[in-house]
Amino acid sequence: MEFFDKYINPIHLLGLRSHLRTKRFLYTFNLTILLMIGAMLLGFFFMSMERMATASIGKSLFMIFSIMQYIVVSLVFPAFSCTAIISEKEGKTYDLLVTANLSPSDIVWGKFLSAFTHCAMFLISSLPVVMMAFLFGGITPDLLAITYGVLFAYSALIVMLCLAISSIYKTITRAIIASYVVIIVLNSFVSPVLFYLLVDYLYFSEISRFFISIGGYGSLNVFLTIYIMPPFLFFSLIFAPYLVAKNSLRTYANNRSTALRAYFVIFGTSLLAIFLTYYINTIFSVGQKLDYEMIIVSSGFCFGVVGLLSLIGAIGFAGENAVPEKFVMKRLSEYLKAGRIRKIFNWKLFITLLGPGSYRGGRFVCTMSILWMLIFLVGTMFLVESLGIKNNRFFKKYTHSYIEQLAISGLVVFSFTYFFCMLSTFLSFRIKQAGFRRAILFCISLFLVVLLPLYALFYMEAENYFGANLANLQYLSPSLCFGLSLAPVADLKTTYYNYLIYEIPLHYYHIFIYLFIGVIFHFQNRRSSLQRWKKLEEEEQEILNMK
Amino acid sequence: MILLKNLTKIFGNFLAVDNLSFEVPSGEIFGFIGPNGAGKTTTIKMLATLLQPDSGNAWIDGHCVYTDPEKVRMAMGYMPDYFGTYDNVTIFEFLDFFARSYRIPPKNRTGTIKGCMELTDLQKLESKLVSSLSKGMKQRLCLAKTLLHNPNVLILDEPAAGLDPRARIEFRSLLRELRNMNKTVFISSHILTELSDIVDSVAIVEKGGLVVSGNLQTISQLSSKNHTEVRIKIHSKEKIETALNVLENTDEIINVHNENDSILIEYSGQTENLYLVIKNLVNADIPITEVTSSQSNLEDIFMRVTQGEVS
Repeated sequence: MEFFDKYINPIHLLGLRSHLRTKRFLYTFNLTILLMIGAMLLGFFFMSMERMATASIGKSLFMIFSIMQYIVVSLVFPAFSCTAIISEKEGKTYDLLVTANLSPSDIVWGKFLSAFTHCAMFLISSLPVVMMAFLFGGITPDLLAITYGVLFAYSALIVMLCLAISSIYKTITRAIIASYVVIIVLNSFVSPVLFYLLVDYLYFSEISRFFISIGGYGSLNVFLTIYIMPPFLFFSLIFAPYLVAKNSLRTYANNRSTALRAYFVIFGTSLLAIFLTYYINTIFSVGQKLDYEMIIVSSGFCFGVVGLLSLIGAIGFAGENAVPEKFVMKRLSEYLKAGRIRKIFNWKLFITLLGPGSYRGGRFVCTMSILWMLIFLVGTMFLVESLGIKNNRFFKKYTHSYIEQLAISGLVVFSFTYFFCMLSTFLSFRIKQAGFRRAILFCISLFLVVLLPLYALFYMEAENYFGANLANLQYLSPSLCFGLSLAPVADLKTTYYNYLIYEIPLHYYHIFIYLFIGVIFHFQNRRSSLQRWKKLEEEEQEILNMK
Repeated sequence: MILLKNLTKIFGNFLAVDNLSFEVPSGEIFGFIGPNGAGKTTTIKMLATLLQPDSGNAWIDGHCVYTDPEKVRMAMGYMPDYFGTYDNVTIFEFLDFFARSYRIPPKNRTGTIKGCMELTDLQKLESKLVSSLSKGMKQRLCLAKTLLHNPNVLILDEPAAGLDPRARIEFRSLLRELRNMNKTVFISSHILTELSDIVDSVAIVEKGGLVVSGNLQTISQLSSKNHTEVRIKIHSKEKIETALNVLENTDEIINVHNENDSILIEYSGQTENLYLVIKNLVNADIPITEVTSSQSNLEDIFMRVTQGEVS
C-alpha cells in the first residue's frame, strides 16, 4: 500500500472523504437514477402501446438512455466542479493549501480527480438501467462501450472547463452562472454532433460507408479518424482549461504564458502532422493522386481547429500583463552585462525571453497560426503539383484554382485569429485588475452576439433557407456556423447576400474587415506598448535618482 | 531566521508595504505589531509566499521567498488570521490531509499527526468532526497543522484573536514550548499585553513602513529618548504629596506626576543609579510597595512610536 500511497493526491482523497458524506450527494445520486429508470419505463410504456418491433424498442430505449445520460452530464456534473476552487477561496482554506506546498497543478489535478470520480460513480451506477434496452436486442456491446467512452470523455471536459471557470471567478454565484452559460454554449456545439453520430450508428451507417470510401477499415486514414483524431481533439480541448486553471492559481505572475505557448506549438504542430499524414497516406493507398474533395474537407477541418486553438490562445493571453517587448529585452541585456552568462541557459531566463505579455502573446498566436497554414498550403501545393489530383468533378465546379481556394479559407481563419488576438491585447492594455475575466467575457459575447448571428443569416441565405421556418434555428449552432464560414467560395450561390458587389464573394469582405480592424488594434497596441515602455523607463529613472 | 530587505507591495495606487527591512534572529519569538491597515497581513502573506512582492525580497531560513517558494513553504509553518476548515472530515483526517500534502512518508505519518495532536492537546478529539469544534479548538487544530512538517520558522497571524482567557494563557505557554524547541516564531497580534510577556524582539509598522525594530529593551530606550519611565506605587495616599516634593527636588528627574496611588517619573540618569531615587524616598519615610520600570511595556512603546514620538 505504501507504494501506491505516494501517488494518491491528497485533495482527491479529501474530496472523496468530505463530499461522499453529504446528504446532498446521496439525494442527487438516488434521484438521478430514479429519474433515469422512470424515463426508460415511460418510454417502454408508450412503445409497447404502439406495438413496435422488439429491436426498435431496444434502439429507442438506448436513445432515451443516452439522451438522459447526456442531460445528467450537462446539468448535474458541472455542479461537482464549478465551485471547487472558488469555494476554497471563499471558505478561507485556499491559503492553507498553497502554504502546504501543493502546487497549482496538484490542486487542479486533485479537484479534477475528485469531481470526475463523482461523475464516474453516477455513470457506472446507471449501467444496470441500460441493461433494460439489451433485453429487446438491436444494441451491441460495442455501441455501449463507445457511448460510455464518449460520456466519460465529455464529463471530463465539462469538469475541467468548470474547474477553470471556478478558478477565474471571485464569487461562487458568478462561477455557477458562468459555468452553466459556458456549458450551454458547449452543448450547442457538441450535442448536434453526438446526436448525429448516435442516430447514424443506430439507423443509417453513413459514417461506415464513408470509412469504406476513404480506404476501408484497417486503412491508415480510418485509423487516424477513429483512434487518433478523437483523443487528439479531446486532449487539446481539455488541456486548455487545465492550463487556464493552473495559471490563474499561480501566486507569482511570471512565466504564466509558457505552458500556453508550449500548448500551441504541440497541438498545432500535431494537427498539421495528422493532416499531412492523411494526404500522404491517400497518395500511397488510394491511387497515387490527391482527392480534391478530401483536400477541401481536410483543410476546412484543419483551419477550423487552428481557428479554435487561436481563439483559446487569444483569450488566454489576454490575461497576461501587457509588458512591452523592449522591457524584457532590457532585462536580458542587464543579465548579460552583469556577467551572468550562465544564467542565459537557465530555463527561467529563457522563458523570460519568450514572454510574458499579451502583446507578445497575441503576435505569437498570429505567427504560429500563419506558419501552420503556410506549411499546410505549401505541403498541399507540393503534393498536388508533383502527384496530380483526381476527382475533377469537384475541380471543374470551382472557378478558382485549388490553392487559391485553400488560401482563401486560410485567410478567413487568419483574419479571424489576428482580429481576436489584437482585440484581446487591446483589452489587456486597458483593463487593469480584472483584465482576464472581462476580456474573456467581452470576446465570447462578441463572438456569440455579433459574429454567430451574422454567419447564421449569411448561411441561411446561402442554403436558400431564408424563410420563416423553425428549422432555421439549427443555423444558430456555433459549430455549424463556424464550419460553414470555411465553405468553398464556389459553393456559395449567386445571391445578393453572398455577392454584395458583382463577383466579390462575402469571404473577401470577411477577410478585409477583420484584417482592417485587426491592423487598427495592432497600431493602438503598439502605441500603448511604447507608452508603457516610456512609463517603465521613467519609473526606473526615478528610482535611480532616489538612490 | 527571517530577513526582509526593502520589501514593497502596491495595490493599485495604495502603498501597502513600503520598503520594509528587518531581521528576525533564529530561535526567538518576534512580535510584529502595528495599527489596523499598517500592512502586517500583507507582509505576512508575502513571507508566506501567498503574494508577490512588487520589489525587494525576503528570505526564510536562507531560502528566497520569490525564487524558492517551495523550499520556503517546507521551512515555514503558516497560520493565517482567518482560516476555514473542511467540516465533513474528522480531526485526524484533516491533519492526515495536510501531512500528505507535506509529503510526510506513510511510515511516520500517523506518529507525526499524533505527536502534533498531543502538543496541541487534541488527542482526545481525534475522531470528532471538524465542524463540531469550537473556535479555540479550531485555532489549536490549525496550529497542529502548522507544526506537522516540523518547520524551523512559524508565521502566526493574529493567532490569539477570538480566544477566551484560559485558551490565551494555554496558547502562550505553547509558544514558549515552541521557543524551547528552538523554533523561530514570527507572531503578529493586536493584543499587546499578550505579546509583551513572551516576545524577545518586535517590529512596529505604521502606514506600511517600519517605525522601529529590535529587542524590547533597545526599543524602549530609543522610544523614550534616553528617559526611563518609572512607576512608583505608594501604600498611603497622604504620603504622595511628600513623595512628589522629594522627587521634584531630585536631580535627573525630568517629569513627575501623580496617577491614583502611583507616581510616574521620567528619569534621565543611568539606570544603575535609579536606586538613589528610591533611597531618597525611603529616607523620607515613604511607604513604597512597588517600583516598575515601564521600559518593557509594549503597549506604552507602541503608543509612543505610532504617535510619531520616534521617527
